[in-house]
Amino acid sequence: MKEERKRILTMLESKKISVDEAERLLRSLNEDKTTSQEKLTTPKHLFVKVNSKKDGTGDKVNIKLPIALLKSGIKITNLVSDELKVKVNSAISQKGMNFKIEDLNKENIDEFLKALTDFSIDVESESQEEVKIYCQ
Amino acid sequence: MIPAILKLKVKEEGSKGINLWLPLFILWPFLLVFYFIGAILLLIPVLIVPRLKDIFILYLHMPTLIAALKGSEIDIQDSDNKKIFMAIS
Repeated sequence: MKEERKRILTMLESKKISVDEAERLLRSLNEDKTTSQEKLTTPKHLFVKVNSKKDGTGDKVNIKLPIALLKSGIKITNLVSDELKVKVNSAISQKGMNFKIEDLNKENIDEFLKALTDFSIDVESESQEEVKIYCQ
Repeated sequence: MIPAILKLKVKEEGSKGINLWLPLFILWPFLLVFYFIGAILLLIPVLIVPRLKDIFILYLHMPTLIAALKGSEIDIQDSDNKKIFMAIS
């Protein structure tokens, strides 16, 4: 986006385009930016679907949880003591994840939740068991 | 908004099944009283043992978590077509 902006201003400087044209191009660039930001909205629910058989004849479990629950949980973890946070962090690192619970704070929680829009886990076992986790 | 209704459906193949609508909004005023009593009772050990502070924080935020449960759905179906569906709305 920054590059395109620069290119428009360079074209204006070298008089390849007029002021009006530059203005119009910059405006359309801003509109594109807004629409791409709007597309990335926070998902409403987290879905967990388990099928014991792929053809749908086996046991099925469908769980739909509101993202608000996740949001509240994250907010609460920020309120707990540092001692507990250290314990949680060490448990996470033992599982091989390079992540700290403090990284999820009020400032980046929305960004994290928006990123969940593209989140999807699809597991299929040899015995045709199927697990799907995604957000919508 | 606090969840107002808990829908519960239990159905077996060939039977009509059970369809319950539990009005949670009736329970909330009573639970609120117990919640405040519980908060006061929990505050005493927290003042004595400060390490229990985290439990107290979690307890204080329990209504937020319960409110966030609104919109949850659990649907379980086995291979014999027995179904259990639960929704909080």
